[in-house]
Amino acid sequence: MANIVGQEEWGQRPRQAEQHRQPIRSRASGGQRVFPSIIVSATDDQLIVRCEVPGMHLDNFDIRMAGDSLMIEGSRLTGEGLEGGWYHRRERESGGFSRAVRLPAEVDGDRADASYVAGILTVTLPLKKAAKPRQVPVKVVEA
Amino acid sequence: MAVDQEMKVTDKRAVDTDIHQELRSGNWYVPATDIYETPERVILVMDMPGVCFDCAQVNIVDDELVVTGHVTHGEDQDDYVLYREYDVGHYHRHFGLPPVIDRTKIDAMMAEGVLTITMPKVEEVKPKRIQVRAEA
Repeated sequence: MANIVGQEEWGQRPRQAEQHRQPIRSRASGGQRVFPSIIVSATDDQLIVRCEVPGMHLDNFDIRMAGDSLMIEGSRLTGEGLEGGWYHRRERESGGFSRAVRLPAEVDGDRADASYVAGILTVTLPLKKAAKPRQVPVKVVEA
Repeated sequence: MAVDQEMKVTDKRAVDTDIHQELRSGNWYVPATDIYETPERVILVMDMPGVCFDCAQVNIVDDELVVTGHVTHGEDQDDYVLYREYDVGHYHRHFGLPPVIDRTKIDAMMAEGVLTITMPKVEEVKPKRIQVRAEA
């Protein structure tokens, strides 16, 4: 039998020192969150929701707007096509997911767009006019 | 699609930079990996979201398989981040290579952020049928 897991794997041992080097998360804490983890960002005219869901196809996602929330649903089944063998290690998550993301601004759901590249799902949501930043004219009055 | 199991978020595991001093700059993570063995081969399947096929490297160094992936997708520096649940980073992991692997026939394929490395075993250890003959 191939003893591939019996050997020392570098970078595996949990160490106390490692704790201090963990990247700072703004709100995430370890443990149970709804899959997938997301990053919400913005430009002047759109919101962007990103998540890492490798090994899918865009067709496998069900993405839609429900009120002021973006729904991202789908399923990823690992291990398909593998047979006649056995696992030494199974770390990749397998199953279904359903995540609702409450958006911080009003968006035009009809013009939303989704892309999937290298396992990253990116949903772009154009902001409605009222939500876009705009210049406020300021009148300067000489005293 | 009927799926019984609901996925949970697994936080990314940082590479131990006490051991990998060369990875001190930037975020480096240990990619989640499935290791599957059949009588003929060993298959590694690794999640490396954000890595394109030409940014993944697989090297054999001494008795180890060393996998490195540089993230090129996943974050746009021009965006203003409002909310963040994960950090984007590169991937690095070492695997001990057992002698049963035929090192000349290892194949690596990247698709949708998943790296699949297929490692056939040497002929000597593959299952063989031994013909039973009648007594002369």
